[in-house]
Amino acid sequence: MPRTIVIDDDPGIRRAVAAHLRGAGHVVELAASGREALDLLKAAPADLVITDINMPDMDGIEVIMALRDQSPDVPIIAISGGGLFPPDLLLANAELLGVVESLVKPFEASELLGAVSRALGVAR
Amino acid sequence: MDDLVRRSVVTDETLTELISLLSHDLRGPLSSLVLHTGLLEGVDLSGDEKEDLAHVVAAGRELRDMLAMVADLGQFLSDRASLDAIPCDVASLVRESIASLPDGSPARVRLSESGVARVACDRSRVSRAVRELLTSALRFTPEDLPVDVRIEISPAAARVGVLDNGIRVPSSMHEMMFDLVGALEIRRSHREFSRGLGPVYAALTARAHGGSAGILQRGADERGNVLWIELPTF
Repeated sequence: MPRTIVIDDDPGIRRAVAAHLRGAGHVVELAASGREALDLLKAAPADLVITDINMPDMDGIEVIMALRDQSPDVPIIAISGGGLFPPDLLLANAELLGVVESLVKPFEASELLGAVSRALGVAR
Repeated sequence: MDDLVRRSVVTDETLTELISLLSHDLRGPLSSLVLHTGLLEGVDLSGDEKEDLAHVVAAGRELRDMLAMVADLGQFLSDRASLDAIPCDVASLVRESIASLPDGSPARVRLSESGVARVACDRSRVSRAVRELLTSALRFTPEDLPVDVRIEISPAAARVGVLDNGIRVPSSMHEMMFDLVGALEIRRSHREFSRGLGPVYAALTARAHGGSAGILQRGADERGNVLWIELPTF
C-alpha cells in the first residue's frame, strides 16, 4: 500500500482527499503545513506527496524545493486554487521544479485518482 | 491629472487582485464540496437520493465553470492572460462545447458546418466561450425550439454563430453587449436584452486569439439574434 502525504492548510480538502486515497488503498498521513510534512518525511519515507501551493508559513513552492533536497525521488502532485496569481501560473512554476502532476482546484475524485495513478507510474 | 490616472490604474489593479483573491477563496470550499460529494457516489442510495446527488454534482460543476470564467475575465481585463494555444479543429471544439451543456440541453442544439477549419487556440477557453454563447441562446429560446449553431469558413477565418430566439437587440447596444461596462449598463437599464457576462467573455477570448465577436440579425422577424465569434485560421 503506497504511503501518501497530503499537505493542505484547508482541513476540508485534506479530509476529502484522504478519504478518496484511502478508498484507493493508500496509507495517508495529513499535514496542515509544509513543516509538518517535512517532519513526517523525516520519520518515514513516502511513496507520494500531494501539496497545496498557496499556504501560510511555508508555501508549496518552498515545500517542493525542500522535498527535492530531502527526498529527491518522491513524486509530487501540486494542487492549487491560485492566490494573487492564477492557479495555472503557480502550477507551471511547480512543474518547473519537477512536480509530475498538477491539478487546479476544484478537481473531482476521478481527476485526483488519475493524477495519483500516473504519478505512481512515473515513480516505478 | 496624473493623480487621476494613477488612481484609475490602482483601482484596476485592485479590482484584478480582488477577483484573483475571491476566486482563490471560493475554490477552497468548492473543492471540499466537490470531493466530499464524490464520496457519496460510491454509497448505496435510493433512486431519489441518486437524483438529488446528481443535481448537487451538476451544480458543483456549474460553479466550477463560473469560477473559471470569472478568473479568466480578471486575467483578460488586466492583460495577464497567457494562452495555451494548440491546433484545434473548430467543428470538434464546438461539438465539445455542446456536449458540455447540462443534461437535456445538447439535444436542443442543431449544428451545421461547412468544411474543415483549423485554428490555433486555447481549447478550454474557446470551448467555454462557445458554451457561454450557447447557454445564452438556450435561455432566450423556447424549449420547444432548437438553437442553431453555424460554422462559417472564409479563407482567413472561421466564424461560429449561435442563433437565439430573443427580441432583436437594438443596434445601439450591439457593441455594448461585448464590453464589460456596456454589458453592465444593458443589465441595469435594458434587462430584456441582457445576455450577462457570457458575450463579454466570448469577445475577450476571441480578441485574445486575434479574432473578433459581434451580433447580427437574421431573417425578417422581430426576434432572432446571431451572436458570433471569429477566429483566424491557418
